[in-house]
Amino acid sequence: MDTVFPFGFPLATAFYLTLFVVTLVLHVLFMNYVLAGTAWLAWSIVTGCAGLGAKSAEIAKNEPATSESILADWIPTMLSGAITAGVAPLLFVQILYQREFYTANLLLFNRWMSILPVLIVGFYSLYVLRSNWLTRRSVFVKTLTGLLPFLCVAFVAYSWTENHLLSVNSPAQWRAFYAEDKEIYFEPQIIPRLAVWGLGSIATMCVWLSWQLRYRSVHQLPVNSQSMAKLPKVALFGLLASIACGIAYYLSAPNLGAVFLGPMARWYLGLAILGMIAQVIGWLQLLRRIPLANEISLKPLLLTTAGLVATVMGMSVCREAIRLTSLGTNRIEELIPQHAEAMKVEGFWVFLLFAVINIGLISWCFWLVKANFVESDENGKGTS
Amino acid sequence: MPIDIYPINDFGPLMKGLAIGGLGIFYVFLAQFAIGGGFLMCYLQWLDMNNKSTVARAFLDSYFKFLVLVSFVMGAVTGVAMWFTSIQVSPRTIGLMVSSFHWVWATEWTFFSLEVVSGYAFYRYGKHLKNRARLTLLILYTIAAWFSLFWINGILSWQLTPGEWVHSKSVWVGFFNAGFWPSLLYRTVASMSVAALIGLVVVNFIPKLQRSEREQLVRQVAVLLIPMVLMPFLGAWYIGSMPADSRAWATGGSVAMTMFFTIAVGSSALVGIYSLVALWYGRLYINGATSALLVLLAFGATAGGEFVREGVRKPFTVRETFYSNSIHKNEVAELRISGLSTRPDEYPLRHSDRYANDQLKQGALVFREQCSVCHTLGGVNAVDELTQSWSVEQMRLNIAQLQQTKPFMPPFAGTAVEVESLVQFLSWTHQSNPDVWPMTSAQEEFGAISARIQGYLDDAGTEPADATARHKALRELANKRWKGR
Repeated sequence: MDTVFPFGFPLATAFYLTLFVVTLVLHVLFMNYVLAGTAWLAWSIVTGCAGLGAKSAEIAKNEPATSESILADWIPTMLSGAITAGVAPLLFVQILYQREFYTANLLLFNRWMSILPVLIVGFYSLYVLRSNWLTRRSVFVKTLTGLLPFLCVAFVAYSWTENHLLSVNSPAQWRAFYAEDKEIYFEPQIIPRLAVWGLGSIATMCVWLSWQLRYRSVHQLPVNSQSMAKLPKVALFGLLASIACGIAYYLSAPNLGAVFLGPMARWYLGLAILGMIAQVIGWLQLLRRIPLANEISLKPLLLTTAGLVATVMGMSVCREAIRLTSLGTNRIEELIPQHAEAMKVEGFWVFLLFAVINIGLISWCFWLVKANFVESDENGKGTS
Repeated sequence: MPIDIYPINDFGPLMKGLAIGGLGIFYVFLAQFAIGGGFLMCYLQWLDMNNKSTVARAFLDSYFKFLVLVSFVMGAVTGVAMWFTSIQVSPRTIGLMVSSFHWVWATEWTFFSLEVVSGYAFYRYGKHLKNRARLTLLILYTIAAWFSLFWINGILSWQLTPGEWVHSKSVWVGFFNAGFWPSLLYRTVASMSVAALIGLVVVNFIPKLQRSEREQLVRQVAVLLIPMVLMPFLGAWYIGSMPADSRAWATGGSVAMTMFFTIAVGSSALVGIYSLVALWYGRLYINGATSALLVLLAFGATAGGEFVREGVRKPFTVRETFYSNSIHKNEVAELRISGLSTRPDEYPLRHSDRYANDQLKQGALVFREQCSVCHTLGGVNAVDELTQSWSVEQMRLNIAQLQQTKPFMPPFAGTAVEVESLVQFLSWTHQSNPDVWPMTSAQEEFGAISARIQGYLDDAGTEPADATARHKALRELANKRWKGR
């Protein structure tokens, strides 16, 4: 733990840590869209800015797309993506920290398992938001349905943070928690920690939305210009709020400075800060250019995207550095032989082979849609 | 390597196996729907492209929406739920499965990702795609879904028939185990049947279809029920691949498991006969109510089959490796000396003030560690009721020689003192938990009692009853039941 992540660990541990962080980043990119997107939708519905029902889902061809209509249309798919992408880090966390992860799951018991029905309710409420049924309901039902997806997703996010923080406790603390027959864990850093990630998700969502709006305008589909103009402002607000919460979190947790500035994480903290600077510059350029050109320019958008990936990657490693430091050298020494044992298990080359093939087939799916898209007649029959 | 000790939760009157079994049944049914749905949609798309059906395309788009809403949403969440529930029931077992097969699981994840991407691509853009692209996406979806089954099936069947893996620890030896192919093929046919039956329900709910169009669709969808003729043979192959003692559970050795096995066979037979004779051969029409009833029967068959699959592994969760109570087969001998309830990093007893003395507290700990995964107190499979008719000395003997008393039970993994504390705990429970209870460990004759129990333990040894003994005991139980009738 005395050199840059993951090089201070033996090969097996470094290998699984890297796989975990890389797949976690993928999951976070989807998850942030869902978290911030449901919050935006909830806000828009409560304030009456967003329409509901089928129109918001199937974006009418001649109607300019807004951020809200795109979010309502895409969040269910992105939630599916978040769950799918979440399977891989869930697998690797069980290799890396099996006892810690399982113990936290077991200690939180019903409280932890409740994320599953909540997730199902949240998932279905997203589809209800897109239905015509909702347009005929009272304002109260509409508002409640609009809030429901966000509340469910936020609950799941909170639960993961709670689970994670409990998992890095010592066995003595676990036994005390168990003896008290508690199922809810709280420590003060949950709130600022969640705030950093939650507010940080706004910028991620804005990058995704920018690409979606840009795609439409490049393909001559109508886009609401106000929606485009609003995105840089919202993204900058999210970034600055996240940075402010990050500073509060840093000041509130006494050991955080030593971890972030320590040899394992300092380069990644630098990467995250550079990423944020790149995002701020990109968004400022877009703030100026969108009203002039009425489109989202490619270069600043590429800059914000690269900055976003760098920030998420850097912060994910910093998060992992906090966990590794909290567990302590003795525990890591115990885990290292287990990782070495796991690495001896056969099947890696089979995984790699099918990973390459399936990434190719996934890319082919995108190409198939792009290359074979045709207008439909009334019966849905494609005509070239 | 030190043993990881995990906290154990109390599921109240519910047996823990019921929690994972209940969720597992639901998940498997949804997964089968997703896999078989791919086959059905490929077939219907092919019919449409070859002008063999005038309504296949309309049906296909409606059916796919249904598939996404039910299978993608519930299937994805219940899939993750299976992991979390397994952790709740047996963390060491799922830990072994993950450690031993993580690359298999990772490979399955790449197929699952392809399944989700191709599925959503069709869902979102299918209506606007050329026919060949539609068919290609559906084929990709189907291949991905079926391969998800392929990979997971290897891990699930390994639990019951690990074969030489027990010695070699080779992933591929464990993966391509004796149950792999029959289980895979059986599940493939079951998936097609489930998808077709749900398809018949959907046919009845698509608006604006004429009766003749519905009849046409019923005949076309029912084609996927034809492979059900193979089910008896594949089922027999699968049952034949099981170890004899496991098979005996489902064929009379256990009332509950025999009942669920009968439900599985009976429901499958009813669905199969109706499908083949009435729908395919007789070309009869099927309405919404009847098709929904057939789906329920198929769900019953899945429930029965999955219950049996979970249950016949007894006394193991992974055969010849972990017992149902998550104690490794090789740990029993050591635990007979060191004890299970006195480990320094053991989780404390909750609400310890409820127990009348320290011996009962220890007994409650032993019950929690060794029994609570399959037994409850006063609920499902209640151990206090199962031992109600035993005298105290019988309890000492029967518990110390558990694997001989009931060969489908694991050996007792603790000391003579722990056997006695469990016996006292059960006796105290039989007497409705009185406030005052004498501690036999404080009595003069305790030395003699311990020595007697130690003798029972030594006689039984630390190995489980061998498979032949388990088989024989189960066959005897089955015969007794038949004679009793």
